[in-house]
Amino acid sequence: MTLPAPHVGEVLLSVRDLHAGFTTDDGHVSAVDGVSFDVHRGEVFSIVGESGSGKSVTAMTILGLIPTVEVSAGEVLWKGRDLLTISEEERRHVRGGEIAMIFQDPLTALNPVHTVGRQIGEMARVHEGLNKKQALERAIEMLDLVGIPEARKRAKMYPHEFSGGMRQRAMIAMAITCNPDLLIADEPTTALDVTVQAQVLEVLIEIKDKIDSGIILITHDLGVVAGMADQVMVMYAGHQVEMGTTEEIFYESRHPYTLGLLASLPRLDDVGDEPLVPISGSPPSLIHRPSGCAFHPRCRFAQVPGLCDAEVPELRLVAGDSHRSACHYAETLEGVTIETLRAKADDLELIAPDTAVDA
Amino acid sequence: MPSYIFRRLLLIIPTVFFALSFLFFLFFALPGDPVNLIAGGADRAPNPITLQQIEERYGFDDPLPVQFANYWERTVKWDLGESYLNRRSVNDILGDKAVNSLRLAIWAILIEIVVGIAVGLVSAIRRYSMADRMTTIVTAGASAIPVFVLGFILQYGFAVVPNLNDWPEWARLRTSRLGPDSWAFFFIPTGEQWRYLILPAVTLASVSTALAARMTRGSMLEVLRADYMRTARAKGLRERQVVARHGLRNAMLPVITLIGIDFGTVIGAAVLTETVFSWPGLGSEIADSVVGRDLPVALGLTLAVVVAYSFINLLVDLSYAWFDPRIRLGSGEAA
Amino acid sequence: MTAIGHAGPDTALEAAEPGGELTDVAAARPLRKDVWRRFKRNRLAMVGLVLIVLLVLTAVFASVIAPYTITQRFSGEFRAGPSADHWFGTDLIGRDVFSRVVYGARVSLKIGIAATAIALVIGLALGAVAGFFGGPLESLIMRLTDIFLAIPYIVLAVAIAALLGRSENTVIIVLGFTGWLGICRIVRSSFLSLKQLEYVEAATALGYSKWRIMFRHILPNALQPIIVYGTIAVGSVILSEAALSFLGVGPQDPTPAWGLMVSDGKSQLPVAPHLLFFPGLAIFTTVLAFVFVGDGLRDALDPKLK
Repeated sequence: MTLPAPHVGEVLLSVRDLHAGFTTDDGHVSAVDGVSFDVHRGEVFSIVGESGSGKSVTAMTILGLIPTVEVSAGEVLWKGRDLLTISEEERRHVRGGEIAMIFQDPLTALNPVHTVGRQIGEMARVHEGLNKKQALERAIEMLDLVGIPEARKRAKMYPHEFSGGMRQRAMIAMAITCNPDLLIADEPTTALDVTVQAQVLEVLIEIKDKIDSGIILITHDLGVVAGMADQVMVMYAGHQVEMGTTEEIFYESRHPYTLGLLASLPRLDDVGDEPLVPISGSPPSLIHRPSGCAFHPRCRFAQVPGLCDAEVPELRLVAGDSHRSACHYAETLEGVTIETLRAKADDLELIAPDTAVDA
Repeated sequence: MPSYIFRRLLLIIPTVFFALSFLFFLFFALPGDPVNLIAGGADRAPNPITLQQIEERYGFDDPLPVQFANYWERTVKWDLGESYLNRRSVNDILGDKAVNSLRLAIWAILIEIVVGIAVGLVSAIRRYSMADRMTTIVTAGASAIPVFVLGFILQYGFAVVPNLNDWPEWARLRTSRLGPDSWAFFFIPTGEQWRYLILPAVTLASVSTALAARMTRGSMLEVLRADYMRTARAKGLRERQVVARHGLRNAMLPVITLIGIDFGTVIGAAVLTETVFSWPGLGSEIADSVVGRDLPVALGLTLAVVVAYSFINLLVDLSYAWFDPRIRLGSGEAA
Repeated sequence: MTAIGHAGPDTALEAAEPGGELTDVAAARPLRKDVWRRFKRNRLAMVGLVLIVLLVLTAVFASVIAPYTITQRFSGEFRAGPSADHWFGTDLIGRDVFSRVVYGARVSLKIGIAATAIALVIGLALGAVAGFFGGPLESLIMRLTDIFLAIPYIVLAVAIAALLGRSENTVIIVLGFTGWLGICRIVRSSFLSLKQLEYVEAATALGYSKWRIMFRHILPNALQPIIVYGTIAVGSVILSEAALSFLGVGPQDPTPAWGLMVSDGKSQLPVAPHLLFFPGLAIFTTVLAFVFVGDGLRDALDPKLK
């Protein structure tokens, strides 16, 4: 798998120690718990996790798009300002103009009663003050840019008249209308057919290079990550559990959850008789988080009483200059590969507690 | 699109035909002999020769199917017959009464649209606010109060009490009848007319305004949660623009359907309102004629109402398609 | 779940997360306990519920609560205002208004519940058949509802009432046979959407009979809007009953129908507004209670609206 050579520029966005949650009927839900990361210009930064892991909430909080989310601590630094504290009016200019979103399901994310051209053009009208006609011309130009044939005709059509792939292209066209510095793509291919996914991702990468922006790619699909991302952050139950380059995460993972995810997937180089190993158990409830490491009840490696179920592991540097993991036994996992995992699929105690190094 | 309208127009014919035929037989089965009615009522024991003349003149001696056929033959020529009670032409009665009803209805609909939708929108956008809570209670109250009771309460508060207490003339409203019947541009009351119009208009509007407000609120709340609203916010639109440009049109869809479906309720409310305020319109005339067994009047005026209903529904469907481009008229049925 | 994509597999995490599916099902069919908990928290709904309980108690114990009978006359006390002896005053011919309003609860409840039951049965049957079987049967039923919708229900009601004569049972029949249109439409559309769901297809594949699928598999899932609609319908039936009584085609005097009492009192508005006010208030309170409970039920059954 060849990654496009990334030209990594300055830091665009810095998220520092972000805490956010909701208040529900059943109590406070901590959806994001102490998350920190940087996104650079020209880079595809991927946030991976199951639904409920906090990956979408993290992204939405950056632009303040979920009104019910309460941010209790942290900073979102963007061009020297903290997006969490600036005024609504200032934030409005950032939205779409500097940071643009691409949503999961373009059918519901596009307004059914307006033409695609009008919705794309609206971006330019808001941020660049174009008039109706100029905005339409810009929309046509954008549709052309994302590879929609007969853009002039298509701009006058409604979202329901587009195919799924075209709708997502239109969504991308809308996002890039004002040359944003950062694109946040929330599960951009999940709602699409497999055959269309690749095309849409290609468009996304091409566009990123063309407008020289960064991308935050939120997905649960490791296949998409492998094909696109430069940096990967894995989230579980509102925590970052592992961060590193795509190579590090895929080939030298140091977290049982990441390893579990990888082992549960079939791979292209599988010959066919490798067992797929699912992660046992189900995702934790965010209201009643397991104590200690939130993953410990499902962990196949080191359910050490008194440590894993008691102490929340810190995210710490475990290899190279950027590979971080939040596992008490991250060091022990060196050299553990998916193959070892699969080979010992039946052996639940791959690493016996007593052989684990003292952390 | 034109072919769709044409097909829908064609579809109105069987609906009107079956509805009116059903009513024809239903009215026909009503107790009370129309012959006696025409002759001045059963109590007067009219002379048998008069009775026979009447029977012949109105065709009561024909068998039922013949009468039925005659009825439709006249009706398709837009000859609605004449009243059993006073021999007035039903076409004339319809012309008189429909105008009065229409004026009342225009004002009621204006109130419904302006007040109902505005209140519903504000209530949804300022959810959980004091205004929202008040709206919830007041609209529930307005939909629970019988139209005629509301009418009497308004009469009492705005006309009876001011009169009993010698309030200044400008504060006294009128409660009964049409008034001087002076209008500009067909529906704008001039001179003293507004004193007569305002109470029945408010009364007639109350139920549907409350319904429209509740519907708008519910539908707007749903729309506010929609993905495309989040997209609009992510574009950097002001919240007001988000609501006005992206929310409003989507939120109006169910409200339009309601206005169409709810037409029956409006007719019911009109009957009661016109009765309470002695407003000489179609509603009170229909109620009187059915109760008084005045068959031609009842059938003729109901026919007008049924046709109006069908056309309003067609208009609703057309405007629905305008509001929601996903609905393609012409393929299948929009209902 | 789709197979291997271009760059590797997709939707891997979905496979590793059986919990997601279960939560969705739980959200679609909330537990009775949760519904009650949410309902209890809605103050207006609880007020409505208390009012309905009081109304039922009033109807049941009318003979205990009412100080006089509905026909007892007090000579010399015509249309007298409220007093210690006659809390709601007396009517035109000297009957105690309070007693008549109390007994009126029986009339309204009886008509409201019976007519709603008839409307529900007809609407459910026709709507279910139309939505489930489709085809010409559906067209026929929907044409029928179109025709009945086109006839102003009040004309129909007045005509039927005139045909059958004035009585409580007539009103029940009239309102029952004109009230099914809305339910029929609701049931039809929920059956239409439910029959396309996987579990219905599964039941079909298992060879269950159509009737079994209709009643055992679809109906329970279509019940929520029907319950809400039915509750509010009781209120609107009571409202319609009052309207028919007011127009002079409802139950006859001396039946203490609230609408009839309003109608009898209307000519006395300037001098004896209480004749109109108290029965009017009774109708209003009763209908409002059903509206509040219906709204509360809807919100409690559909938590995503909260």
